[in-house]
Amino acid sequence: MRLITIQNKIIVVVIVIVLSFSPFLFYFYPNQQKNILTEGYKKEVSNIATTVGLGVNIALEEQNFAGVETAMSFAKSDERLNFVALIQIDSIENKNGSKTIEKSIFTVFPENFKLDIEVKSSEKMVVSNSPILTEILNGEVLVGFSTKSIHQTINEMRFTSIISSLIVSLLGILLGLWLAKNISKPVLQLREAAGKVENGDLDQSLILKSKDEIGDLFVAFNSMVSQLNLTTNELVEQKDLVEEKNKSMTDSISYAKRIQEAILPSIDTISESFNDSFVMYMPKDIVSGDFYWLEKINDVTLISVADCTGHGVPGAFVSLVSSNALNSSVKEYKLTEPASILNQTNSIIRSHFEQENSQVEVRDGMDISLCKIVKNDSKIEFAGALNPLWIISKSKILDNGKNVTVNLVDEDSYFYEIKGDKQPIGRYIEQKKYLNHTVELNSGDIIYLISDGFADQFGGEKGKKFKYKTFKKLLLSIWERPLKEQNEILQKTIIDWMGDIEQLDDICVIGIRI
Amino acid sequence: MKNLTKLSFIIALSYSMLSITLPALITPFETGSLSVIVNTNEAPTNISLSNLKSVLKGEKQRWKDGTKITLAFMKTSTNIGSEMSHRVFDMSEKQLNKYFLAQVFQGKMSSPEFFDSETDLLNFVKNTKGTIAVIKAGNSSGLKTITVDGKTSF
Repeated sequence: MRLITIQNKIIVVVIVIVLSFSPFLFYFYPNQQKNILTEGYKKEVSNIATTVGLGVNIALEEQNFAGVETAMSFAKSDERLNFVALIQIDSIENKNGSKTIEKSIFTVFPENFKLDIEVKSSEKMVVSNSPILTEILNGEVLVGFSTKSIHQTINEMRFTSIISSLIVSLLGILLGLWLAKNISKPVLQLREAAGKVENGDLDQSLILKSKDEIGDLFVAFNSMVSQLNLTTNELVEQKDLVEEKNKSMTDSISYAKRIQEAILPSIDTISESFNDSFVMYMPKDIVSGDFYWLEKINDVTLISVADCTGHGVPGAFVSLVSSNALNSSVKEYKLTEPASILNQTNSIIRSHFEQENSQVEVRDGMDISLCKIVKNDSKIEFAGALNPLWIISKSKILDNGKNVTVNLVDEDSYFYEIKGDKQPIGRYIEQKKYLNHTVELNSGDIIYLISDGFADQFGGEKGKKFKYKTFKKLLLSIWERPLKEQNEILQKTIIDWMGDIEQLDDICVIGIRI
Repeated sequence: MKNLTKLSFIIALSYSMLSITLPALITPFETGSLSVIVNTNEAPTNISLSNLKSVLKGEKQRWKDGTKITLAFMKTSTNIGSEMSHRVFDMSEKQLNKYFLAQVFQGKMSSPEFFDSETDLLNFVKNTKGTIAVIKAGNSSGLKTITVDGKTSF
C-alpha cells in the first residue's frame, strides 16, 4: 500500500495544523481565562471587604452595633463566603516602654470556623481585608471567599473549550478529508487514465466539471490523448505500409537469394574436388556481396573467394556480374591461369560498368583470391586482387621459385601469406596486369582463401576489430584439426566475438588441405 | 442585593446623623447626676445597682410580663454616656462598646440604642414600650423613674 499520496499529505498537513492549535485551545486559552476570572474574583472579594469595612466603620462610629452586624451580614449572605471576621488590633505597651501590636479575633462567622489570623489568599480561597479605624475598635474586616465556584467555572470553561476544540478539530479533519478526497480523486483518476494510455488504451476521456487547475489538466490530458490517438493511427497506417513494402522487398530479396545461391557451387561440388575442405559462408543480409566460385575443367580446379563492393542487394548485384565475368573468362576465353582470369574478368567488369552512354559513373568491383589446383600436382597457382592466399605448412614454401617469408610461427608450423596485387577488380586509376604466383606445397599443407569480413568484425569486451593478426593466430592454432571442426571453431569464435554487436560485413572463408 | 440596599441605607443614614450632630459639651458629673427611667409598669420602683447593671448589660432581657427589655443610652461620646460607662458599668467607653459589640455578635442581646441628644432619647423611651434608659438626673420629662438602691439619682 502506498503511503506517500496526495490524500495522505493533505490529511497530515490538516492534522498538524489542528494539533498546532491544540495547546492554545486546551492550555493557553483556559489558563488565560482562569487568570482573568481569578483577578476579577479577587477584585470582587476586595470590593466586598471594602464595603463591609466601610459599613462597620460607620456603624461603629454611630455605636450602631446592629448596623455592624448588618454590614457583616452583607458578606454572610454570599454563598461563596468561607468566613468573615472582625479582627481587633491593639497596641500594647510593654514594661520597657516598647509597643507590641496584638491581633485577635473579635468575631468570626461562621462561629465554628477555625481562622488563622494570618491567613493569606491561596488556591482554594481568596482573602481580602478592610481597615477598621474607630474610637471603639481598631482592626480590620477580614473576608475569605472560596474559589470553588471559580474553579468550577474554569472547569466548565475548560470542558466547553475541550468540547468545542474537539468539534473544531473534527470539523478540520473532516474538511481535510473532504479536501484530500476532492483533490486526490481527480488526480487518481488521471493517474489511472494515464496508466491505461501507457498500456495503449487511447480511448481515455476524462470528465471533470471543475474549473480549477485540475480541470485545466483534464482538458489538456484529453487533448493530449486525442492528439496521441491521431498520431498513433497515422503511425499504425505508416507502419502497415512500411511492413507491406518491407514484406514485398523481403520476398524479392529472398527470391534474389535463391538466384545468388544458384551461382554458388554446392558443397558436394566442392567436396568432390577437395576431399578435405570447408566453406564458412556468413552473409550479413539475405543476399551477400561475398561469394565463392569454383570451376572444374578436367584435373584443373579453379576456386576463389570474392568480396564485392558493398553488401546486401548492391553487393549481390555486383557478385552476379563478377561471377558471370569469371565464368566468361574461363568458359569463353578458355583461360585457366589465375592472373589471366583476373585480368580478363577485370576487363569484362570494367566494360560492364563503364558504358559509353551511361551517365552514371560506377565505382564498383571486387577483391578476390583465385587459386588453380591441379590434381596430383603439388604446385598451385594463385592470383589476388587485394585479397591474399594464406598457407600453413611445416615446411618452407617456394613462390615462383623463391622462398616465401614466414609470417607467423607456432612451434614447427609456419604461416605464410602471399599477398594479392594492390588493385581491385573494377575501376582503378592505374591499371596493371595481375601477377600469377606458382607455389609449391607439401601434402598436408593447408590453404585459406578469405574475405575481409572476419578480421574486420567489431566485438569483444572493448568492441574492437578482430584483426588479421588474431585471425592468423587462430588459424595457426587449429590448422591441423579436421576441416569440419575448424569451420565450427571459426563460426563459434566470430559469433562469440560479435556478442550483441551487429555483423558488419559478409564473411567468407574457405579452407582446403592439400 | 437586599442586603446591599439595607447596608447602603444604614451607611447613608449614619452619615446624615453624623453630619447634623454637634459634639456634646463634656462637663464633669458628680455622684447623683444620673437617673434611670423606664416605659413599663412591670419594672420595679426600686432596684439595686447590681441588678441595674445586670439589666443594662443585657443579662436580663424581658420584664416580668414578657415584654422585651430595650436598652437606650446616650452615646459614650456624650458626657452622660461617658459618666454612665464609668459609674454604672465600671468600664471605659471603649470597653463598654466592645462589650456590647461582642454581646450583640454573640447573639446574647439585642443592640442597645444610642442617642446624641437627650430629647431624642426621651422621645424614644416614650414611644418604645419596655425601654429602660439612663439619663441626666432631674430630666425624666414625666417618665417613670426607678430608684437605685432607694435613690432617684446615683
